[in-house]
Amino acid sequence: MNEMRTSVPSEAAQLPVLTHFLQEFWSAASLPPAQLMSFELALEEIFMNVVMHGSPSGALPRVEISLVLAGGAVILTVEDNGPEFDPLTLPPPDVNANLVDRPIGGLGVFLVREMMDAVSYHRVGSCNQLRMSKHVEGPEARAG
Amino acid sequence: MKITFETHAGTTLMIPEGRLDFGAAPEFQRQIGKALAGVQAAPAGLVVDCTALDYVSSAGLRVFLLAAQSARRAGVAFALCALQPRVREVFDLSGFGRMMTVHADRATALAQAPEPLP
Amino acid sequence: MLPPETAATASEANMGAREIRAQRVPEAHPPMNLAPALRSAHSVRAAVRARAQLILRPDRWIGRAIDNLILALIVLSVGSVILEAIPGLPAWVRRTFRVEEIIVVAVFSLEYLLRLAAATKIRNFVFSFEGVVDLISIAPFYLAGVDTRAVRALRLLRLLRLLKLQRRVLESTVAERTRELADKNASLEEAQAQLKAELEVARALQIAILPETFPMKPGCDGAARMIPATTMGGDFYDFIELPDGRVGLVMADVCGKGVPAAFFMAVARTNLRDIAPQYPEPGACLAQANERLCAHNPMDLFVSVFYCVFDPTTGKLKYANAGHNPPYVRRTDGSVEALSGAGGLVLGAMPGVQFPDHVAQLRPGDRLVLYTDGITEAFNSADEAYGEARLIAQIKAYGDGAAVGLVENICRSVAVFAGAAPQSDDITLTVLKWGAP
Repeated sequence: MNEMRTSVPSEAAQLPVLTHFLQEFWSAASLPPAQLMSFELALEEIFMNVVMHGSPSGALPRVEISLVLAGGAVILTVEDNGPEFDPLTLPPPDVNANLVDRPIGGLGVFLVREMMDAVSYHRVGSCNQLRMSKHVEGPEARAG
Repeated sequence: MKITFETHAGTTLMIPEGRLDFGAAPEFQRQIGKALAGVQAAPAGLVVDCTALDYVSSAGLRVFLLAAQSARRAGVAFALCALQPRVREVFDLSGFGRMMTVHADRATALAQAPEPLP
Repeated sequence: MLPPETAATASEANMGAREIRAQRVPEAHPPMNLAPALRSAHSVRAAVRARAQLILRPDRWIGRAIDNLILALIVLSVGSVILEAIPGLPAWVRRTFRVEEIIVVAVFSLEYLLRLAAATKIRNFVFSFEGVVDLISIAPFYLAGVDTRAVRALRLLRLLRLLKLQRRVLESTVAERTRELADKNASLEEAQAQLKAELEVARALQIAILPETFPMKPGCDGAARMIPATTMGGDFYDFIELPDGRVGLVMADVCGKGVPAAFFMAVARTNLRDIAPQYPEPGACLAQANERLCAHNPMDLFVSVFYCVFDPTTGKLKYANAGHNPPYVRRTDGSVEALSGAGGLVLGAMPGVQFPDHVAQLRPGDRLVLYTDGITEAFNSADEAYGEARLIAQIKAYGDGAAVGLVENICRSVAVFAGAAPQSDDITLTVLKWGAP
């Protein structure tokens, strides 16, 4: 079972670092490339939400990303020590209506929910923890 | 992200290459805005050829929608073509596929006469 | 792992240790064909050497006292070389310096003789750096003879005695560090031995809580085996007798290794045992177990679980899967099929996950084989995995006897395949044979 972790400050400039991290995990775990984009998207949307809702004053929160391959699924966890914020409470966009006026966060989280099998939020101590999972075909392809 | 422009019989062709993520969105928005503004030179409108667009996130989607809106307001034809399958999936999920004109490939996009958007 | 500072001095200590050891190692006994006289001369020499070495050892008070004396005399004699150069010193001062010089040379000469006696190979000592420095420190006095100008010039050579300081300081530091290191090593080894013993007890306990036998049910012949890996792991199986007469079978694998995984394994197992009698549907049982694990999972651990409820009166199997590799069923015609319905999320990841129930039917003579990926991902030295195909082949070939026979055959096959390669993951396996034949 593969697991990788990294920690970055909560700023937009870190996005390419995280993308690279995800790609490294993907190739280390020999996962099919077809599923990678769902996770790239999920990671970007959640991370940028954290960046934009981060501490309005003072020090940048730190964001910890963990990727685990377990039971045929990739589990992505984004944890930050910023102020309490549950992105899952953002109102979902009305996909039939005019999207321009909607806050950016809404569409991002909506996409994450659509692309992932499951998403959940947890306040753990002084941290926000957002976890999402999606089945990928890796382990079956590797065994025997 | 690299963006090149071509002109084909009155249509401006915009060709983005790479990933349209949060970091690339502002520049993309600027370029699309410029292209729409300069549309007098290409009255048949603007087509974005997405053959080389590998990735799009909500930030990128927002730019596309803003562009579609301002094109409609200015009475300029605006369409996309040749979306990669995974990018197409994201467009469809968000409902954007319904909101703007999307063609299968460049040839079709260019062949279509500029149509007024709904 | 030792902290860096100890490591740095360890290399010094090793040097010193080697040096000290070299001085103490006695020469090999002479061959038998030498004349007895020579032999006794050798043994006298050896005795003298041993005595001299004993005196000079810096870890005993004599050796240290000699070191300190030499140190004081070096400083004294260097100081007087400098002071002697002052012009116009009264005659009595000059005489005092002269007396002091004689004393210093006498002591240094004695020390030189002592070191000569202690040396395992005299030539090595005489021509070594320390030996040369020691000689130069006293030679001017003996060579001075009559020529007073030569005496004055050679006196400056006494400054070279400072070089003697280098060895003294180095040797005493080295001896001290060696002592410190030996002490630290001893206590580290003790701590490690204790930790190892405790881990072995923990692992034995971990295995001991797994049921040894399958519950007594009509037509049921069940067997199980868990072969732990070298590091503590988190595989477990369980047989749970349910109030309605059915039996719950669990096969699970905690993601990760070590003490946290072992701990989580115990928690997960207890949760399932607790919940199963209250939740007869396997999917609901897993969902409830998941809620409990997620409610308190400070180390963010996950566990894959296959859980099925078996009715021994009808052969009906109801099951649900939380990310575990699906078990195999061997039919009486020898065919082997995997139970469908893989793909649920592992337990402990997030609350609110649902696990659908699936149904299968065992017919008399069928075997149900539950296992963890410690079997299919057992690697040999050529880095090949045992794989599903080999497992299926084993089940086909040996699945027509007692359950325990199939368990033993599979375990043996994996062991033979893996060969000398170390076992990196727990190997866990249960087989249930139902009804004759």
